[in-house]
This record gives sequence, structure tokens and C-alpha cells, in this order.
Amino acid sequence: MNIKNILVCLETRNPVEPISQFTVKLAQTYDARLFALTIIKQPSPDIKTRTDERAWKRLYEIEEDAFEAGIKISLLLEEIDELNRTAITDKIISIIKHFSIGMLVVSGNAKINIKDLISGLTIPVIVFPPEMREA
Amino acid sequence: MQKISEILLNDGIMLDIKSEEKVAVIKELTQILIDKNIIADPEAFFDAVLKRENMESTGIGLGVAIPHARTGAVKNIAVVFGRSPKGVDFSSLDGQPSNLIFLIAAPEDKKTEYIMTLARLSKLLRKSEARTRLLNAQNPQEVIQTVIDYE
Repeated sequence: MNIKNILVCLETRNPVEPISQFTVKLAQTYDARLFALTIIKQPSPDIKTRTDERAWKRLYEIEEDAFEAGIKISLLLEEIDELNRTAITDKIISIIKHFSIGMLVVSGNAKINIKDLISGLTIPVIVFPPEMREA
Repeated sequence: MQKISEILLNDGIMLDIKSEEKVAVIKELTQILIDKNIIADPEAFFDAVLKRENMESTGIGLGVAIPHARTGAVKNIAVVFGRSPKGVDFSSLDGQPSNLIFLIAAPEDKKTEYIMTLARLSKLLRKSEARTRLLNAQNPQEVIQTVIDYE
């Protein structure tokens, strides 16, 4: 299987380490480039939130793991109006198409329509098991 | 954890970067860190920054780039800022040239502080009002005040 680009979707509420280590090894196996994605709700200008700081922290944590492993990586932070399953799923699909992603890794507890995601794609999707997130 | 405004060097702000190419811009900003005795091994630090640039895009879009390196060649965590009126190609995913460039240097053993600095700075620079103020700042003090106001 020739996979050039792997997309990993990070959840801001989950620790990044287990899914990061898994995905970096996957990228090494396929000699692929990583795209790390977090999706957050567009913050209201009058509300102080740390969600975007947590999202960036997750992205830079996986960037460090990738860098140390010699894997190329691009970071994506996407803001959407409403964090509902349909909107998140649609955003992931649009990114997969835009960056010619060949494999997707998502958390088991990601807020997505996994059925819609899989049926809308022709690439392998790895759902990271919940028990592996307990570091 | 130190705030960005505390590690942004007061005299590490260049409002009119002359260089127009990424490597030259990084060299220009690195020179400030060298002059301020932040870097123990200039060549090793410069190589570390360029190695990262070759691995990933440090252009985060919206006209912003944050080149960075964590290496034993650095004595203390520090941030310097450069503004390029024309913009510099940092291979941002949105295809836009970068006008606001923050270079972060961190010692090898300061991983947590380094990642938090990257996260906080990225968060700050996603705010359009903050970017506008940085683009229009007339002097270094206005840059520092903007960072203080938005972090």
C-alpha cells in the first residue's frame, strides 16, 4: 500500500501521547507525511477560552514526537461555528480531499459520525481504541 | 511558567526586516539571540532551526510564522520578533506569505515551557485584532504591549 499522507485527528480533551506515538510509528512504517488536526468551536470574541491553547498544545506535542522520529508534519487548527458531529465529519472529509490524505486515524471517542465518515471515503480509517488512550 | 511578554526580548524586535527569503530572515533574527548571549553554539542553533524548517512548515497561516528549535545550543528560553512588510514565504498551508515572524529558542531540557510558549503564541496570533496591532505597531513598546494585552 502506497500512502504518502496520514491525517490524525486529535481530541483536545484526550492526552496526546498514546495516539501520537502510534501515528508517528505508522508514518515511519509507510514513510508518510503526517497532518495533525484539531477542530475547535469558533470562539466568541467576548469569551475568554483556553480551548484553542489546549488545541495548539496537542498539535505541538505531536510535532515534537514527529520531529524526534524524523517524520515530516503539518499542523492544522480548524475553527467551525458549531461542534456537532455532522460539521466535524464534513470538515475532516474536506481536509482529506484537500491534502490527498491516504489514511485517517481518529480517536474512539471522537465526536464524529463514523459511519458517514467511512462511507464517504475510500481510504483506510483507523479508530484508535479507547483503552489505548489511558496513558 | 513565564509569560511570552517576559521572554520576548525588549531589544529583540525588528519592525522592518530587510531580508526577503526565509533562511536569511531566520539568520537575521538569530543574530539578535547571539548578540544577547542567549545562544551557546550559534551554528548548532541555526542548523536546528533549519532542520525543523525542512521537516515541517512553521508558517501557521494568516501571515504568521513561528520558526523554533529546542536544543542544547540554547542557554535560556527566549523569543524575538521580526516584521516583514513584504512578507516572507514560510510554506504556510494557506499559501500566504508571513509578515509576522516570531523565532523561539529553547534549551533541550525545557520541553514543557517550549510547547506552552508555542501554544500560547499561536493562540495569540490567531486573533485578528492582535495581528492588526502588530502589523501597525510604530515602535517595539507597542509590540510588547500588544502581547501583554492578548496573552
